[in-house]
Formats: sequence, structure tokens, C-alpha cells
Amino acid sequence: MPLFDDLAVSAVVFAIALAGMFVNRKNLVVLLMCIELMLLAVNTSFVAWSAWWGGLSGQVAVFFVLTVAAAEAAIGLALLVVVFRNKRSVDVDTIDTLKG
Amino acid sequence: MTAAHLLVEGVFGFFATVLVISALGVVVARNPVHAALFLILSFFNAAVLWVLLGAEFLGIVLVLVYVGAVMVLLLFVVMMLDIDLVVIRRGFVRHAPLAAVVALLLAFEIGYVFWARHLGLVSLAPPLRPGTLPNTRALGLRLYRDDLYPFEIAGFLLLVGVVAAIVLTLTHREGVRRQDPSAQVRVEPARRIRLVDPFPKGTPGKGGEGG
Amino acid sequence: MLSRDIWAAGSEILIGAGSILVLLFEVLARRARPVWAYRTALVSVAVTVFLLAAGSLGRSGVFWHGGLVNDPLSRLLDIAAGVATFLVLVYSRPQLVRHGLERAEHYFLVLTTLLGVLVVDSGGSLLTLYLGLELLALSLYALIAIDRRRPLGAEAAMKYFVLGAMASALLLYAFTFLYGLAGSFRLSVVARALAAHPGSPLTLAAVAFVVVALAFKFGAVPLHFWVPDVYEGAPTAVTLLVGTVPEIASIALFMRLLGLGLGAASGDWGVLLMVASLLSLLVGNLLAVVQLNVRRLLGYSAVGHVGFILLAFQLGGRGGETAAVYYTIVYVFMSAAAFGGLTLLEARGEKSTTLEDLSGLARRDPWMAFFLLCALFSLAGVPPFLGFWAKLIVLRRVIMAHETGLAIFAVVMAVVAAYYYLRVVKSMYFDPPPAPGGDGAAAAAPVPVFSRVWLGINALGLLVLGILPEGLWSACRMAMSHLLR
Repeated sequence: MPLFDDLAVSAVVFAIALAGMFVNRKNLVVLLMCIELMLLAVNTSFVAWSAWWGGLSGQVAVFFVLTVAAAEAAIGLALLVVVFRNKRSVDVDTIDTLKG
Repeated sequence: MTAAHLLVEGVFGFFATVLVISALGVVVARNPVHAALFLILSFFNAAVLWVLLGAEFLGIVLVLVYVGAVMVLLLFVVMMLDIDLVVIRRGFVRHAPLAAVVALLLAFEIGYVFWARHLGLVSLAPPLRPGTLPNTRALGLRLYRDDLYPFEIAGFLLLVGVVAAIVLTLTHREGVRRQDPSAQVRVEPARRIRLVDPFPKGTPGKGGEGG
Repeated sequence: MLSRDIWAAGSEILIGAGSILVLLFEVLARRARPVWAYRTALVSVAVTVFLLAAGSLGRSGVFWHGGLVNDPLSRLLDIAAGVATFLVLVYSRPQLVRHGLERAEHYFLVLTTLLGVLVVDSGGSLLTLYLGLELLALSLYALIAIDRRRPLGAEAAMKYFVLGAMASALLLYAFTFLYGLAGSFRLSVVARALAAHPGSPLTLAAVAFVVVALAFKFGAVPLHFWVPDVYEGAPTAVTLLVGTVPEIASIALFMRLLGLGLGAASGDWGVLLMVASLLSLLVGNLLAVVQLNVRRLLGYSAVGHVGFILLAFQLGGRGGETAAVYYTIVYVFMSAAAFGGLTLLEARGEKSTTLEDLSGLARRDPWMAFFLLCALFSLAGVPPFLGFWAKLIVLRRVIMAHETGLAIFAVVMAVVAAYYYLRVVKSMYFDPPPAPGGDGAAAAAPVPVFSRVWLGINALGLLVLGILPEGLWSACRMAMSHLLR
């Protein structure tokens, strides 16, 4: 059953990426990379299900998720540059002016 | 099990293993540049898995467009920012147990979901035969005909991405000389070349020549 | 076939075209300055709202292979979002001009925010819901950080971005489960598949992830951290936007995804939402009491209001959902008046950050103080303001579902909320004005009459509609009685 193998790989990658967001709470760059990794896992899942159902809907979804991920990466990196210009650091600890 | 099956299984096993290892690498790498390289490695391996699953076009797009453009952008920014590495890694050990618990919990939950399906608790429809059209052509037909509406929204998403990135990062500092393309295009010959007579009448130069 | 489908997306096309015109003005006619961008944005929103209200746009039906679903609910929410955006544009311009922040890109991003909301309102498939949500979210990330002289903005945007991207990834992962179950992204197919496989582990996982992601988008309690930070960190004109228009998309997402798509699993998400609702009521309202910063106060109070909305929604069934939609629409216009007042105060050159900044406002500007009073009374749920009826309808639904304990808890929290809202009113009317610091009074400039008049209409509307509450309520009930998917 190749479906389950692929889904398992996707789940493991997603779990690693989510855990990475907790471990690397201090580094914005790696946080962005973990988000990319999560989307990669999601896409792998979509492709696997798409193969299972024999349709193309899943692959079309991957196309759109890739588009969104690209736009998101652009904005995320732009924000990163702005934060870095303000603080000269991407350490989350220096970003504590807001109390939340 | 035929030889072809074994081959596919073997290829799958290899690339899936490397995918998981490189994903781990992204999370634990000490240097953000290494993390970005691991991320690119995992994208490559995922692309192979996609091709194995019959999504050839997306596999190629992932490598050519996504790795080629987005990941390079990411790497570029990482290197540009010149990040202080020592400061960042503090707290990794402190958060590691929590993260391990979260990861294990999530992996367990998701594993349970698929394991339960494996045991046949849910009846699933049998897999259909894939379409007869080539993958790229079939995708194109879907995108430009049936899914035109989401396609247009995706176009707006990219436009917002472009505008936002420019609005956030483009600075017009005072006192910096910059190119003005429209001024360059509109320029006229008369303003660029002025014909000057090097020896106007009545200047000492002319007199000297005569003498 | 195709022309029918294109016409069905008329409101989205109008707003999209407006946003592109705004950009074109900036590129082609730099001399015209952003006034023209502002006017274009205003006109395209007004035309869209007018055509929707007149019934020329948004004819009911299912279009684009299920990607776009127009029904009375989508039209109602579209109109509400359009009117709210119109008010946001009108209130924010004087402040943007005064602080040198007026740029065409700002108006472009406001319009794409609205576009995202419109797409979500009439989203008929997981795909269009996701894309609309992202369009909305990406525009907001950029707007929050748009003032580069304000480091707080970039910080708040970064926090919001990281958490928001994580929430979207969770939502997408849930969508892979739903797709695996149904083999399609259409909500109608997903709903049928869920009904055919009750209690499957895939459904449970999908419900859990969806609820987490939606709770984040709405700002419900375990995932509310970003709300006060964004409200404080964003430029005032953007806080005004964040506090109003996206709420419409949130309730639309709840209705489409949970109500229509995952309706078969309402037992599962009902419990989760009830917990989130109680926590939001408790945490939001109690933390709002101790805030001295007006924007953080309104941020935490927004969390409390989300608690009320979820309290109605978790009851399940059309009754509870109608109450939730009604409450959301009412909240959006109360919030627009409150933040609009603060924004116009800043346009006058006053500060509106802390409670002290507002003290004695009634003497300086009686009309503005009165408009803010209307908004705050309505938010507090003082009869006969509109906010009173919203709370009453939710409580009636809760009691009808025999959840008297929940109703009593909600009333107690509403009393707490009334306390901190009235404290702001007391500060405006009874506290002495702050000692003249020199720059405050001298720099005060008149606010354009146009903006003031609209604020007046908005604030007095809360009173008038509160005295005649039947119209909006029956509009909501009508909209909810002919749902499509």
C-alpha cells in the first residue's frame, strides 16, 4: 500500500517541522524554514491522496499551495529584513517590546 | 512481487529516508545556512516521491521553480542578514523536552489515524485508474478551465506578495543617487550633446594661430 | 456557461479591478498623489455594495464547479464587509494624511483584504476558502508592518505571521484528511463523505486541526496572544481594519467549513468550541480590566466578544449559528465606530493610546466623545443600543438549549465587560483633561467633515438600530434560511 507509506512520511515530516517550531522559537529564520517544511509535508500528502483517488484535484491543490507558499515566503522574508533592520538581530528574545 | 515493484519500493525507501533525515537536519542544524541547505535537500527528495506517485509536472516544478527561486531567495536573505549564531542557540536544550513531547504526541496521533485505517475500520473506495491524458496537459486543462476562479485568486495572492515585499523593504534614503528610467527614456539629443566651438572669435587662441 | 460563472463572481471582480486601478494610478500618475487611489478605492467599494444590495450582483447558485457559492448568507456578509471597508477607508484617511502614511499601496492592500473576505464569504470548496483566507492574511501582515518608523508594527506583524502561517499549515493538513476522505474539495462532497463515515479517526483529526486553526484566526483563547499585540503594534488605521473586516471572514469560515462542511461532526467540534468560548469570555474580559492602554483594552475585549460568538455557534443548529452571524455583524460595526473614533482623534493630532489621553475629551470635543460613548455603550451591551440585542439573542439561544449555567457565566462576564467600558466613558466625561503639554492643544487640527459625518451615522446607527432592532435580525434569519453549499 504505497499510499500509507507516503502518508506516513508526510506525517513524520510534518511532526518534525511542528516540533522544530517549538525548539527553534528563538530563531525567526529557522521558523520560516519550518513553515516551508510543514507545507512540503502537506503537499506530499495531497499528492499521495491524489494518486489514491486517481483524480487531479489533489495535484491542483498542490499547485495553489506552492503559489501561496511562495507569496508567504516573500512576505515573511520581507518582515524578517524589517525586523532585522530595527533590531540588528533575529533572536526572538530581543523582540519583546510587546507583552503578549 | 515483480522486480519493478521491488525497484520502486527501494527507490521510495531510500528517498523517503533521506527526506526524513534532512527534515531533522533543518530543525537541529546549528547554522541557519546549513538548515537552508537541508531544506533544499528535503525538497529534492520530496520531488522524487511526487514523481513516483505520478505527479511528474509538480515534481519538476518543485525543483525548478520552488527550489530554484524561493529557496534561493531564502538562502540569500539568510546570508545577507549576517546572524549572530552563538546567541541564537541558547534555549535549544531548554525547549527540547517540550518539543520532543509535542512531536511524539503528534506522530502518535497521526500514526494512530492511519493505523486504524489500515485495519479496515473505514471502508475506502477503491483507487481509480489514473487519467489517460499526460500529467502536464491534464493539469493545464484543469487549471485554466475548471479551476480558473481559484487560479485568478492565486494571481492576486502573488500580486499582494510582490507589493507587500516592495512596500516593506524598499527604502528611499535621502542623498543617494539613483537611476530614473523614465527620465532616461525621455531624454532628447539636444540635452545630451552641446556643440561647442572650441575657438570662438576673438579669443587669444585664434590670434596665436595667426601669429 | 462561462459568462454565467464570470457574472457570478461580479463583486470579487469589481473589487479586484478597483485594486488594480489603485496600483495603476500610483504607477502612471504619480503627480495625482494618493488622493486618487483613495477615491478609486472608495468608489469601487461603494459601487460593489450598491450593486449587491440592489440584487444585481451575487445571484444565488453554485458556480465554478462548486468553488463559488452565492447564497443570501454570502450576500449579507459581502455587504457587511463592504460597508465596513468603506467606513474604514473614510475614517483612516485623515489620520494617514496627518502622519504622512498615505500611500496608494495602503489602499491597495485594504482592497485585497476585502477581496479575500469576499472570496471566503462565498467559498464553496476547501481550495477557495484557503486561498481567500491567505489573501486576507497576507494583506494584513503587510499592512501591520507598513509604517516603518514604528518598530512595534514589524514586531507585531512578525508574531502574527509566524503563528498565522502555522495555523494555515494545520488547516491545510486537516484539508488533506478531508480530501482523503471525500476525494474532492467541494464542501457538499466533503459533507456527504463525513456523514457516510461517522466517527472515523480521520474526521476526528481533521476536526481538531480545523478548530485550532479557526480559533487562531478568530482570536479565541488558547490562541489569542496575537490579538492585543497586533491591536497595539499596528498603525491606528490598520488596527481599525484588523478589528473589523476580517471578523466577517472568520464567521463565514465557521459557517462554511464547520457548519456546512463538517456539520456531521458537530458533536466533536461543539465541545472544543465550548471550551474555547468559555476560556475566551473569562480570559478576554478579565485581562481587559487591568489594561491601561485603550487599544490593548479593546483587543482583549475583542477576545471576550469572540467568546460570545462561539458560545452561540457551539450550540449547533441554525438557531445558534444565526445568532452567531448576527452578533458578528453587530460587533463589526460597534468596533468600527470605536476604533474609528480613536483614529479620528489621532487625525486631530491628539494621542489616543492610554486612558489618560482620553480624559476630559467631552470638554474638548463633545461630539466625538458622544460618538465614542455610543460605541462603548453598545459594546458593553447597554440597552437600547444594538449591542444589547446581540447579547440578548445569544443568551436566549443558550437558555433555550437548557445551558443555564453557561448563560449565567456569560452574563457575569458581560457585567465585567460593562465595568471596563464604562471606565473609559467615565474618563472621557468626568476626569479632568490632562495637563496641557503644549503640543497637544496647539496642534489640534479640524477633522474633515466627511469623516465626522460618517462616524456620526455609524455611531447613531448603533442607537437607532437598537431602538428598531427587527430589520437586521430578520435579514440575518432570511440569509440563514436559504443556505447553499
